Amino acid sequence: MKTLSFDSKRCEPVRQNLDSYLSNELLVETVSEVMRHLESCEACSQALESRMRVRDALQRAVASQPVPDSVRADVLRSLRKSQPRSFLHLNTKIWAVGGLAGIALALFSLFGLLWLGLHHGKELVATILKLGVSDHVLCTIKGHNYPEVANPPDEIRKKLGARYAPVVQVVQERLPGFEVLEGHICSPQGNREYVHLITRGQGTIVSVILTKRNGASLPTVKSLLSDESAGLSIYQDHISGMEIAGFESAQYFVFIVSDLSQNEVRQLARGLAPVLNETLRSTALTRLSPLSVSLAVPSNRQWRASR
Amino acid sequence: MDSFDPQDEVAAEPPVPQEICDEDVLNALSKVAVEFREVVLLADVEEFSYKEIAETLKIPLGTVMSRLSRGRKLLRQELAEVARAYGINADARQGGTVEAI
Repeated sequence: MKTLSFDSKRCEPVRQNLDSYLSNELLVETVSEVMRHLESCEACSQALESRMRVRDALQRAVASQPVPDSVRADVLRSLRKSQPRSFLHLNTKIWAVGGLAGIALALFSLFGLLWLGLHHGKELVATILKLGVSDHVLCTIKGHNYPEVANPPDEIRKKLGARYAPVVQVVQERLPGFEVLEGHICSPQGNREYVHLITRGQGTIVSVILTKRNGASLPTVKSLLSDESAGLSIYQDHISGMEIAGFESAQYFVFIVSDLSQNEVRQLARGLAPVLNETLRSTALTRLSPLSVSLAVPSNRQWRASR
Repeated sequence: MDSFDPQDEVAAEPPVPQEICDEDVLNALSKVAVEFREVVLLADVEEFSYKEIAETLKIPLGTVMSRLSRGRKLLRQELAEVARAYGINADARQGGTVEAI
């Protein structure tokens, strides 16, 4: 007869951490402790193995359940609207559908909604933010299109033209400790224009980039937001080794890109967003060519909260 | 820290079959209260992090952990009922046909 020995003094701390261990949520040090114990404790080892088996069975069972067409259509319709309250609204719908299809189907509909909403939103944010990183890397880093000594502000304003000149002053004032080195209008590969201000401060270079939204919009999924400033939603990501923060303003996406820390870039975005938003709203900027946002998922994006 | 039930020791845990069909899993899952079920699904099926689940459901991180722990345990208990329905008992467990969960 097989007997499993449970030593409460040794096993209990491990059992307390078993769920987090299974979810890969423990600190490295704690993982090592748990692993050491599991190597010598058959009871806990079997407890973990059984939990893993249940989890695997659950994954297989859920994967075998198709999402009803009506629910999928509701989800996609809601995502297109991109309304912040659509989740709650749709949850109600889903449960209504589930009432007809049975409790299990309702559950998987809810689950599917969350899954689809988050993934769609994440991909959309990454796709849009990648535009800013690409502009920064191509023009600032690889192109090094800025002088060692800052160009005179009047010269920068002249290059940007009367419509964009106010942006120079806003950036200079709202990014304390940063000096505007250069400003120009870029046109990468001739298919999209963006206003590009290159600043220097805190020992590094920071790009402020404006590009026309042309109907595209960042999602309004609350859980994807990084921060808010005066009602403006700020999104962040770490892409191609760069930190980027972005927000929508009038007809524009505004990006702040740098190799500063995530928090530093967020603070810059917070400081810049309200005033720049007001400036852009009061300026009829119509010169930029249409922005075409591809919904293809960038191959090199990295999520900060990677799973 | 996950909530830990002192009764949750191997010797006291009910057995479940080695092989569980999808229907049994779904039936067991449907008997777990929604508040626990949604956390289990987001963590174990979608593999969202605790932080992502907390943000999605707008609940504290500690609540995610406790609900997940509780939800997993409830699911194991429901699956143990399946085992009992199959006629599996403690003797069978000791014989190695099932394992404690």
